[in-house]
Amino acid sequence: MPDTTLPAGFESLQPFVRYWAVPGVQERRERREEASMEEITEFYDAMLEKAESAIKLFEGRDLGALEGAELRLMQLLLALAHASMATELHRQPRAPHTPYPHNVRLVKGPPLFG
Amino acid sequence: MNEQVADFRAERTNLTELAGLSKEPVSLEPYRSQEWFEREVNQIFKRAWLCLGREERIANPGDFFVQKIEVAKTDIIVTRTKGGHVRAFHNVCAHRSNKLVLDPEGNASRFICRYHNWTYRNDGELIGVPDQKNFFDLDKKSCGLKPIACDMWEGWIFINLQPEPEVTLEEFLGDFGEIYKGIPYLNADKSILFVSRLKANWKVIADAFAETYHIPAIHPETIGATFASNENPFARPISAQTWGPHRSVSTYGNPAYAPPEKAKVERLFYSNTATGNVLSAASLEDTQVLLQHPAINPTKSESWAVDVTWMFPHFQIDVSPGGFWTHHFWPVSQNETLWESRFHVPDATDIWSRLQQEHYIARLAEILLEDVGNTERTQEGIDSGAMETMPLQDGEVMIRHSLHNVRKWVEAATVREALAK
Repeated sequence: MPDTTLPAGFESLQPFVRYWAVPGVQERRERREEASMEEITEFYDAMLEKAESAIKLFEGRDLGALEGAELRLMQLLLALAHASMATELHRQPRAPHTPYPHNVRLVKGPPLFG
Repeated sequence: MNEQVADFRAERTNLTELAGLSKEPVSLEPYRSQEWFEREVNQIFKRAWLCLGREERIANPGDFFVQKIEVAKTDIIVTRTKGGHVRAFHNVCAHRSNKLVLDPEGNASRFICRYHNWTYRNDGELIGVPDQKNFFDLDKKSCGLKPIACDMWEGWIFINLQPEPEVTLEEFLGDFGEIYKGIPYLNADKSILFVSRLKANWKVIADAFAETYHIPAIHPETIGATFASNENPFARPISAQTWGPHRSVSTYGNPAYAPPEKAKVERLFYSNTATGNVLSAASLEDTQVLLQHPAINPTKSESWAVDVTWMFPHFQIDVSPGGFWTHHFWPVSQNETLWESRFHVPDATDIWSRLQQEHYIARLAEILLEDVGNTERTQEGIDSGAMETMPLQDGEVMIRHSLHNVRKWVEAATVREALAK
């Protein structure tokens, strides 16, 4: 069983770790594209509620040194940006009138969590 | 220089007329004809200087990348030599013409052919031939890598596939090359890359990034409110300029844009810094350096979003207050294109900048998909033959200017003739 634990205080987000806590931008994007609106909304609501305290935890920290539970929380927080595309912009999982599947891919992301 | 300024608030703008272009509908044949495509390959892509990207990609001696130009059946090694010069060679061993370099990029002072271990220095010179004595008076000096014409302008690498280019890069760029000197390319050494192979003509894709008329329709949620407003509901450009075969438009940005109430994540992630533009991930300080350049936002409009600069034939540089990005539209066939888009974004130094970066890239991916997803449907429509021509409005002036110059190059016997007024 992969470790899905999160830092203390973020236990409520544990059910989302296996699906949403993935290493790269393109992977997070794919998770959101493949999810149903119900799944996205459930994650979005839960993560948004904890977002400010997660940001507080990471303020002033060397992000490159994060590992384990903290790294997973960071990945979840980053995935919130992708979930918000569906909930705040499209009001559906993917942009209207766009092809799916498609091959418009991010092949090189930023150095950290890219 | 040929600068056209039009007031987007007027009943109609007059950019097309000021650029000296016809206002007639334009033919769709260049977007679907196999025969025309072959002429484009021979007359344009094998004769024009082609921009391959920034020199920061090969910042150190020994750095190299390989660029494939499918339509020319050419693989190019671009290297930086020990002396710091950027050189380009055919990626072909002089012995039995095997492909020399197999990695897409890397660092190497020498290249060794996997077939018989012929060894070249990265300045092209052949330095090692196993069992050389058994050849017949082999002259190593004449068996170096075959060079491809390569030149630099403002840190941009250009190649030319003509064995002896008819015109220099300087002549090819003309006034454009002068006016765009000295622009700071922020974060030129840092980029993220989107790639896609699309079933559409290269011009269909390039056209999609050359006008903002489509923005309120295709991008209503992602960036509609950024590029249009009550003052400019159809996202008309602020100005347009043309220089020989090159062109640029300055696009309108809604100065009053703020994330809506419902955009809770956008508001949260951007709450700790003031960045001005939604397509932005750079600091205000960097932005100021850029804003002062006379070629950028040439009218110094306060409602400025992005300058879209289209260098003939297939390369666009976009400059915004937050930095720059580029598009390469590499033709593959008359209805297939390899599209590469590089966005130069600063490294994230803390949690706030990393979250902005993620939101920025996530939204970019949506915008790009909205843009290019649309192009395959356009190509299908063009290929159906239902329409002979397309009417273009004034805001689509760059498309008209592109087609005008494509035709000029296709029909011109010499490059100098193609560049003549």
